[in-house]
Amino acid sequence: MKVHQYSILLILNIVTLFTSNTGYAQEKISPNLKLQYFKNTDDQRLLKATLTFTQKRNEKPLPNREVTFYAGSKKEILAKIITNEKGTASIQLSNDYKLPLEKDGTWFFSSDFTGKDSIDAASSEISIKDVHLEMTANLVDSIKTINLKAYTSDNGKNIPVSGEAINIFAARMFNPLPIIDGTFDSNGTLSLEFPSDVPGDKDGNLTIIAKFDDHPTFGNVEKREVSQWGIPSRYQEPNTHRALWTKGAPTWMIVALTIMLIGVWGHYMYAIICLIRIKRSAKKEKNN
Amino acid sequence: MQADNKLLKDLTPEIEGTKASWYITFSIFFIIFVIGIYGLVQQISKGHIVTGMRDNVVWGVYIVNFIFFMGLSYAGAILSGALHLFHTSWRRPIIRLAELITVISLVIGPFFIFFCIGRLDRLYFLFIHPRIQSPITWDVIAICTDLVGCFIFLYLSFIEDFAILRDYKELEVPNWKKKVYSILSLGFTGTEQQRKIIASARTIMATMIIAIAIIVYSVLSWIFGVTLQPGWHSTIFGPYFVISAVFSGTGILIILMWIFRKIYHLENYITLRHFKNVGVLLIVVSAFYGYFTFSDYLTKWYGSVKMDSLLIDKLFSDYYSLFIFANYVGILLPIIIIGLPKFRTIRNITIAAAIALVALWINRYLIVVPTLETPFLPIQDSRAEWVHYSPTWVEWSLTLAGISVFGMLFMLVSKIAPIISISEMQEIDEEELLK
Repeated sequence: MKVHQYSILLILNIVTLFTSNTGYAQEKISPNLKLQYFKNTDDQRLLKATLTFTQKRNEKPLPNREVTFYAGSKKEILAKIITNEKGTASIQLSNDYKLPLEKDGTWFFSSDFTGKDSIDAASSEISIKDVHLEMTANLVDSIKTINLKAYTSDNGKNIPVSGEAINIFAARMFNPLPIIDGTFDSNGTLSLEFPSDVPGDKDGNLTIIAKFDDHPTFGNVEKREVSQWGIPSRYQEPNTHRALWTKGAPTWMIVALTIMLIGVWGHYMYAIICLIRIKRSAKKEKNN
Repeated sequence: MQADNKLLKDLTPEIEGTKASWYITFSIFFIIFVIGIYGLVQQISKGHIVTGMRDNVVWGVYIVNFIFFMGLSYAGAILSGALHLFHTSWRRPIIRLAELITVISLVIGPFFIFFCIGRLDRLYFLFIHPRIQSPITWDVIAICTDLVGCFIFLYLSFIEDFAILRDYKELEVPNWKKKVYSILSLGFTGTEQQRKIIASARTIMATMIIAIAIIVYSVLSWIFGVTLQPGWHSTIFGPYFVISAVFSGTGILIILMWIFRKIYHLENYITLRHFKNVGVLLIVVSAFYGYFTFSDYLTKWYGSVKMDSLLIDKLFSDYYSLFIFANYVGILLPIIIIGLPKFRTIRNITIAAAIALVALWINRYLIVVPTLETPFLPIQDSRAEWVHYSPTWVEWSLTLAGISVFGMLFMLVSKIAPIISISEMQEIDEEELLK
């Protein structure tokens, strides 16, 4: 082999080393597992675990991993769920299922990921106090007023939630829009004036959400109420509409395409005429 | 029409007889093709579930192959048209190869679209309910127009050779073949008037196919560019696609030059000079291609739009090796190998071309797949296992079938027509005739 062929081989070897991505594969991943509790407006309860890891300061999901959910300090298995593409695994807790109550009147939940190959194990736990949230939206002296009441239960006795902050949102397409917030008084009640300049749908309908957002004791608990308190939104047809979605193509497009096609196919015709002329001249020559 | 006897013998090695090696190679290609057909039957009977395509990645290897083959075709058109128009003296042995690349790739490419369509039975809707404002309709019109133009251009270049073969008395071929040559040569006898007509038609068609190739490949790029998908919504996609097409076309031309030179012993016709000249073209196109690639990714990275950032992050993590190979190695290595006179041998230039070709195919893959894995709008009820795309054996078998058909068609053409244009080699200066 000549020297330069060795050089090429050397370059290819360097390239192979350069493009090799094994460095990433061998790094041990330390995942984060976050466990959250949700209670929706229909009192349906949900546990959600999110399995992620940090790479180059970016948080990335770990899909297709099995996460186990437990209830109570004795770790009663609730379910084993595979994480989705966002790294989350969720279970809905049936209202018929009696969750084990701890001595302090809370529910204890935990979840873990046992780890696999190059990924470490991870676990997470939360204690939740079940809170009951009530919301009414009324007009009081022409003022849009939201009345909230929150309480917990202890041996069948209602204990008002006091001094806790709660947020009011308006539902939007992607994330709820924060509107106002307030703090419950000693009776566990709260009255808030709802602003009158919040846009609703075309009829002024607005979904109002009262929510304990990632509360350390209550988790995520919300109540929803649909009212006509929004300003009706009028969608204005833009002057320039998306031409590609209309029934007919824009004139300039038809003109441009026609000119181009006539130009091109005209030249093709010329080439075909040339072929016919060759054939004719050959015939003429043969006859002569 | 008469030609030098040695020239005829050298340039028509497979026309008279068929060697065992031809049958063996053709059989291998045919077996690969049959496996591909079996894969296609599986796909038609069981549906697209047998492919790796799901809700997120609805365009997989099929579309990559479609873009790739169409790129080869347009590159062949631009190269053959330019070589013809500029009357470069060294073009003669390689112009026919460029012309054949154009037509053969153009015939194969659209089949990959058919493989990708779930409801092939509705394909004719494209023709009976066309929407002029749809880029897909532009593409259908463009490809059909291009196909006709390229066939005419190729046929024009073949007429003189068919006439030579028709009048070649010592040619020992079956009568049907002689008849075919007689019909296809249109009675061409090489009179001055006929030569003028054919030269003028070829010049016109050379100009047209260059223009059409640029327009058609731009139209193909706009199918991606007019969407808001991350990585696709780019104003430079048109010229970027055209340059990358020429890049791959130059690569395949060098590889075919090497193959035909080897198997048909054309060392006296396709020389180091040809490899060096086409190699220099590959360097220039590599530089432009690298510039466009850098420019495209730099603006996306600097803009830091959320979805673009996610895409670039994916390219530098999940697709790290492929990205580095396609956009660094595939561009720089051909430049280094061909750029340094020390390395400039026929074998090394061919290696550089092969690297460029593979890198370009991977580049196409990286344009199509990671973007679909990072959609602009979230996909409803998508499952984790649907996000990441991995081609199945069915897709690979059809990909290989496409490559084997490319090989088979070249082999079949070599059985009826010379791979190097005999008339071009007779050094007839058409420009002089036109004057």
